[in-house]
Order: sequence, then structure tokens, then C-alpha cells
Amino acid sequence: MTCTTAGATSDGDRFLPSPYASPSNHSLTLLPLSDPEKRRYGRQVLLPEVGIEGQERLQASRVLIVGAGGLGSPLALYLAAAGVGHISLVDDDVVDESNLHRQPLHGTADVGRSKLDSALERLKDLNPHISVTTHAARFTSENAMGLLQGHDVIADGTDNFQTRYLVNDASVLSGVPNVHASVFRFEGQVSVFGAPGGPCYRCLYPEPPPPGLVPSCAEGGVLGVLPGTVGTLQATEVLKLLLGIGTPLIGRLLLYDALSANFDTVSIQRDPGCPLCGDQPSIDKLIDYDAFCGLEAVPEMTVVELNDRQARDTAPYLLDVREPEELQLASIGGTLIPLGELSSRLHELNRDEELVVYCRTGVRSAQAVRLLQDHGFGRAQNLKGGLRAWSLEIDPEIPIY
Amino acid sequence: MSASEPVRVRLFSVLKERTGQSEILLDAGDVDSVGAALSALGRTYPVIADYRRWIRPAVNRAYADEDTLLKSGDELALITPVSGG
Ligand SMILES: [Zn+2]
Repeated sequence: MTCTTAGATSDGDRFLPSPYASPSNHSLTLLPLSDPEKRRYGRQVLLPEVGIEGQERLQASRVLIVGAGGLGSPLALYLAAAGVGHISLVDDDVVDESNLHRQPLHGTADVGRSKLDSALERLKDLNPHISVTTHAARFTSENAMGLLQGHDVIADGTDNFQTRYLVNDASVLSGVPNVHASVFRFEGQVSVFGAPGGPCYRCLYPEPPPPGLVPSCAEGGVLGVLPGTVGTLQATEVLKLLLGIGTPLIGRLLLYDALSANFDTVSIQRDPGCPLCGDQPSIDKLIDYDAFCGLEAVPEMTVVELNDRQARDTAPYLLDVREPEELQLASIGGTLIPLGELSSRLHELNRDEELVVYCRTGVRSAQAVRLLQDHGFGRAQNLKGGLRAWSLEIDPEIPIY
Repeated sequence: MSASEPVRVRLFSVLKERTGQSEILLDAGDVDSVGAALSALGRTYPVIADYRRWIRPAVNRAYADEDTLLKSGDELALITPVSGG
């Protein structure tokens, strides 16, 4: 690339000799900016680190965003606004009212619409000079490599561990760097995985925690602005990689805590023993994640069965493993011991008694049943579908939250 | 004043929420390694014992493992993966 302009003289270190420069990008022919594009991107082009050439480079770049939710919103909005020329979005969800507090890619009028339809409309309005491709699908081991093909960067805006491991594996196997971000309540984590020489997500966290151990946003809650903060950090890392500027978060995990207003970075290295990116990798293709996350099933009781048993006065002992705050929102009675306290409060329960454990949806209570089984509670069962199922099938007076 | 500074343990995300603590001080004389610190913490906070396998420890802001030695004044961060998006 030899394009030089006033204000963007080739001083030799505008573009770092980037070890992560993606093969599909640097060989592209850059197309000159049109006059409307020059006006639109003017303030960004003024930065010597970007310049006309950097802007053209963004215009020629292809980014795959997995998830059009809390992180996907700032990712898509800011990458589109910044002039990333080709954005691909993967999502299979529909806009729900409870998404809107943290997903400003979608509006109130979009409730019930596909997130991709809503996103496409918004992004087209935001920047008609770019192309947006939508894939209405879940990101799976079957379609991952195909979806990733031809992209310079993948940005992980998913909301579950299964897909995060899949994004990571597809990134390492295809050589496309993965800009990762994840959030929980008031905290976020950001890093760049799968860049040459750098670590991958599995180097940091070799295996996913079992479902239920780490609450999702739906169960743990999240401050609406948090994925905005963290997703814009993630978008910044995407732009840095595409432009080849600055020091990307390769080999560093950025931790953000909104409550204390603290940023920490922890250095991480590629693990030579990593099963995916190590010296002798054992994973050479995408794992079927349903099997990967397959758990030994726990004994279950349906809400209908529980209701019958209660009506016949043979009700089992009911254990609620939600948080105290959730008790105010809805309850069907029983003893409250939050999942996190369960292992230290087992003495409050009777090992010989028939126990039915519930939570909001049945995810945490399944984890609780596993924990109880491990401690000799042979008659513990999970209330299938949790309070939600109770509300839908037994008593609509119990609110769904 | 002790001549020995404690090991400062910092907790993040789920561990912070479930223990109700963002920082715990341990006597450096009692915990000579990350593993020993996790065992000691697990006795007081069972949730740390439950999560132990999935905790990514970092000593003085660098990636560590259970064998990493601790000394007076070290900072031990206990990080767990989060999945929200
Ligand atoms: Zn790795």
C-alpha cells in the first residue's frame, strides 16, 4: 500500500508490523473514497493513525459479528458508523421487550421482529455506504467455518459458553482473530484471542463451567449500559486490528468493573499444552457442542406432578435456590437457600427426605440437584422448567420475570 | 505492624457476588502457593471450593496456576469466565 495523503505521511510506524495482520485483508485492492464518504469519515481520516488509507482499509474489511444483542448492538452500530465495509451478522433471536434496556440496536417498534431485520434497517440508515449481510441461524459446529470464511475478524457477542467455545475454536482453526467480550452484572472481560502467537480462549479457560454454575444475564441480571461500555471496547479492538494500529489486547485480559470504575489488565500467554492452539493440539475440528456440554441428566419432577402431589397432601420438601431478591418477584414457597450458599448449608437439609429443587427456569436448580447428589442426597429432584413452567401450566398468577 | 505484608486476594464476577467480598487478605505465612490459598479460601467460602476447577488465578497481574508460589505482598486475582452478552 503506497497511498499517502497530506496529514498521513508515511512515517514508518503508522501501521505496526502487525503479526496478526489477516491474510484476507492486506492483499485487497483499496478503492478510493467517494466525496460523501470523505465528508462522512472526515474526522476519523484526520487522525494520522487512520488517514485516507486506513479508511479505505476499513472499507475493504469484513467483520463477522456473532450475536445481535447487548454486545452486538454497540459492535454493529460503531463498526458500521466507522465505515467497516462488510459486516456479517449471525443471530436467530427475536426482539423482546426485556432486551431493549441494553440493546439499542433495536427499538420499541421492533419488539417481536427478527433481530436481524431490525438491525439491518438500523445499520442501513446509519451508514448506506457499507454492506450488511445477515444470517438468520444459530452459530453451530455445522455452519461456523462457512460463516467465518472470508472475514478478517470475528467479534464474539454471544451470550452462552457453548457458542463462545465454538467461536474460539473456529477462530483458531481458520486463523481469523477473535475479539472477545463478555459481561456479568456490573463487570466485563475483553481480549483478543486466536491471533498468531497469542493465546486462545481455551488457554485462559480450558473448559466451560457446567451450565448453572455461572448465571446468564437472564438469571444474574445486567446493568443496561454495561454491554455498551464493554461492546464499544470490543469494537475498538476490532478497529485496531483492521487498521493495524496501537497495541491490541493480544495476551492480555481486560477486566472492567463498573461499580468501582476500575480497569485491570492481566497478562495471559498461549499455553503450549492447550488442546486447541498448543504445540500438540488434540482438537483439529469443531466439536459438536451439544455433546460437549451434554450433562448427565438429573432426576426431574414436572410442575403438573408437583401440583398433584401437593393436592394429595404428599408434597415433597421444596427447596428454592434463587437469590433473596427474586423471592420478592415470585414464589411458590419452600425453603430459600441460594445456590451459592447451598454447599455450606447442607446441614439444614435432610438426606433421606424427598427434595424438589426449583429456581426461575430450572437451570440453577439442576446444578443444585447435582451438588446435592454429590453429597448423598439420593432423593433430590429438579422442578422441570422452574417457576416459569409453574406460571405457564399451573398458576398464571405467578408472574414470569 | 507485622514485617510481613498479607497476600491480597481480589475476587471478580461470580466469586465476588457469591462471597460478598471483593478483597480478602490472607496471612502470607499461611499460604505459600496459589493452591494453598485456594484451599484456605475454600474452607471459609465453600463457593470457592465449588468453582475451584474453573478459576483462573493471576498473581501480580500475570497468569498463574495452582503451583505458583506466593510471597508477602503479592496480589492474587481470582477470575472466572462470564458468558453474558
Ligand atoms: Zn489455546
